[in-house]
Amino acid sequence: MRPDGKSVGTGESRTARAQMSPALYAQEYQRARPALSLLAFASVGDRHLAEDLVQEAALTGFRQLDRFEPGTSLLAWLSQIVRNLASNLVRTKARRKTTPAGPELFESQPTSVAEPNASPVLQNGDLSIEQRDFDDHLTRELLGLDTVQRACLLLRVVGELPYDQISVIVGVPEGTAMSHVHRGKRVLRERLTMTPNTHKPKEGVTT
Amino acid sequence: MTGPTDPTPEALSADQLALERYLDGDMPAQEREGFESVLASRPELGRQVELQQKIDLRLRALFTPDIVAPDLQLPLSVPRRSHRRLITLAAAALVLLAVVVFQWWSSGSQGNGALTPAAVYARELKSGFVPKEVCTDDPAFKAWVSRRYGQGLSMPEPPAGLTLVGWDYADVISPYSGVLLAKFEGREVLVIIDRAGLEHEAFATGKHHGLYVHRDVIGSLVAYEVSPLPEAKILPALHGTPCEHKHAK
Repeated sequence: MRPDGKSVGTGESRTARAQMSPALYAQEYQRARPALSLLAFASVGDRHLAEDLVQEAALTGFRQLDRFEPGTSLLAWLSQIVRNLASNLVRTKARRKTTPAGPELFESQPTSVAEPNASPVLQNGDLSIEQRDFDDHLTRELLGLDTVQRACLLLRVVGELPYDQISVIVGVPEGTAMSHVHRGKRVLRERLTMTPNTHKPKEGVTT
Repeated sequence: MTGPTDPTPEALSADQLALERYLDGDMPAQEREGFESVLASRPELGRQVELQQKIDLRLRALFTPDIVAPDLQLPLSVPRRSHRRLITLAAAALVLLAVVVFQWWSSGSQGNGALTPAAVYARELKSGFVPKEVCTDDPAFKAWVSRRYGQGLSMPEPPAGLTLVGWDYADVISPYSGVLLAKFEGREVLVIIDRAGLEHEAFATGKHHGLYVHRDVIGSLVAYEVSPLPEAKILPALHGTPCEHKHAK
């Protein structure tokens, strides 16, 4: 099955089909890149990995351009490639062996560090700490959201995309994308105004 | 990507549902006005709106992709690869070249910028509102605009509370759109200006995700003011002046 939901034809039909030209591919990729970057970040939770992932997706898409059916959405096709690559990356990372740290490592750490979960927003809505701390707190809570929710939220707020496009990029129905955005915003507001240590945001990425 | 395909339905109050739609910009103008009067009488809802606007602004500042970054980066040295692989890489290099040529062509000949006014605001906010050039007085300000855009702009009576920071450039209307950075009563405000003839299509004005965009045409120039403030503060104070710059060979 093709990423855009249509069946992949035989090799013969693929070669017989007119291919998208490299120049047009470059042009379409350029348009899609900001959304793909947000999707990649939402998927892997790391900016540098996300940029690498988008570039890898661009090359993968280019190498497999004969599988793309002109007239269908290149954005949807590239988004599927990004999601597949991200999924492989996260699985690979999960398989890596890690060595648990001994308690002595934690005991040697200073105990006077600032409380990381302290709320950066006062009850009156003003920022209680510096902007950078607010950004750190916001990023941590964003990474605590579900991957799909995070992708929908970033595509809506940062990408300013309509829900039909978010639906295509993330691969969920439009109504679901909207629910994810609304709930994601609400969760961020709640967590950013919570009192310290009343919640434990999930660390890392869920896929 | 996996994850829950549909969030579990929640029992939200009518106010909460309206708040979500309001924050999402998904509310007709009349309903919006009605809800804003509700917000004025419900401070707890107003605080949520303010917080969400802060969150949205910071998310844009943190995550707006850098449009001008290189798009495809190929490895500089390639270990032994098959002939087919090399052909693929050569083709990819052609794609990169096509991207660069397309960017040059689209920005130069069509005057179609890559950034929206809101994206420029997010970018400037992220970089700390640091100008590339500073005009120290109104004549310098007038001359700066005149030299670059063929028509001068003057601000003889800056509104009280306004501090001009300086100029930056951004690829909005053309790759060299001027971005006037300013602060009004401590809030960051910017004005994007360029030749009106280069504007391929006017950007949407009004409120978008916590930012207000105002547009004005001043003589041969088009100007967009972008800020969290509902009223334009700089555009009404700007006046067009004749070009002072004579093209010299």
